[in-house]
Amino acid sequence: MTTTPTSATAATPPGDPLRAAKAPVGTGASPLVAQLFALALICLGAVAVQHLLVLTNAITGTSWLVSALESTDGLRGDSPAVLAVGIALAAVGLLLLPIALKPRPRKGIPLATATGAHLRRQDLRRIVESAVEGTDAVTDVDVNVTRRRIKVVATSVATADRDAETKAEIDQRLTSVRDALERQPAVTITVRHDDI
Amino acid sequence: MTTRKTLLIDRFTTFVLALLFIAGGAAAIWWWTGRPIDGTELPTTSDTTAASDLVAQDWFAWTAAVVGVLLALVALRWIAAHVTPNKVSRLRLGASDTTGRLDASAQKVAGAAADAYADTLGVRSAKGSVVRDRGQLVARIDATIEPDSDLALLSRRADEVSSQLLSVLERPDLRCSLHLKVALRGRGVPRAL
Repeated sequence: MTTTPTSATAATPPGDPLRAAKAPVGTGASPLVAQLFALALICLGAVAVQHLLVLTNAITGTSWLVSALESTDGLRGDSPAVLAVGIALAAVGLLLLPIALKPRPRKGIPLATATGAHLRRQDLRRIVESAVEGTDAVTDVDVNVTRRRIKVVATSVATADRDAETKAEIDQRLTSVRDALERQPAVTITVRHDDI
Repeated sequence: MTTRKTLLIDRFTTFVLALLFIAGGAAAIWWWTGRPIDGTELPTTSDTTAASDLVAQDWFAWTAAVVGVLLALVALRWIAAHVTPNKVSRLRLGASDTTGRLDASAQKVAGAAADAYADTLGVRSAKGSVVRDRGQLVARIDATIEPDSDLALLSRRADEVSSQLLSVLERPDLRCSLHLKVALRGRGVPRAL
């Protein structure tokens, strides 16, 4: 008897899943800064090569390095340009410091799985919006999601005395979403009425 | 994707650059004020004669060009480290032993797992790959889902697909990471009445 190879799609009784990988994190802005610096290094290399080519008469023109040195000679310290450059340099330095020191940003909200599954914040917001849309008397939904809190502002056309019912219905619609998350967020529901 | 080592170098460079910029900025402002600090006073005008003399030396142009080219090559390698994918192409299966070695195409296996996951109700499409991430070998599935999909079902199916992957590969050191994204335009999921 021959056996046929089975693929990962074959229905096998589920055993233990793979362990979860580390939670997804972003890289921050330091790779961008580093790549810009690397580009600056390449430009510096080009300046050095151009200087050599001018000196060996391989190309005509003046050396960029020599012109840069000549133009910065005799610069007055009390000129406004020096102050402007100083402030700009210090400001850029102060902006770069938190980029270098901040921890890598967490990118996902974990789902309640044994194997790691994550959802981005904006995606959870759309899922919550979709779950709440269609609630009785609700015409518009505004959702704000953080890692710990889901804030729903629903616009209702029903009378104010039915707000409790609307809130209960929204809360009930959100139960499945909340239960599917590893760390259940607190849900705040506000019902607003449009002035007609 | 960038490796941890590259990120560490990036961070260190950013930190050093930040300190240099702050120090340079402070020095320029100090020069502008013209005030002495601890009896030290900066000259009122800049003088680049020393630097010009150095540049005029015979050996300078060649040395600078060689150093410049080396710097540019290092910089190119550095940029390349940010764009090189850290995908794993072949996976050694757990059944390998001294009598033989079993390899599988990592991307095909992860692709099959992604296809299995894409069959789930509410999943529009899924892509799989095996990558090295922060010291771990990770089977990564990127799935696009409908806005009204059932998260509990998606989580359950993630565990099922992941356990199938483990039973096929027999690689307990492999980790799993499923990234869900909601499709820009929802198509609507059929619901059981």
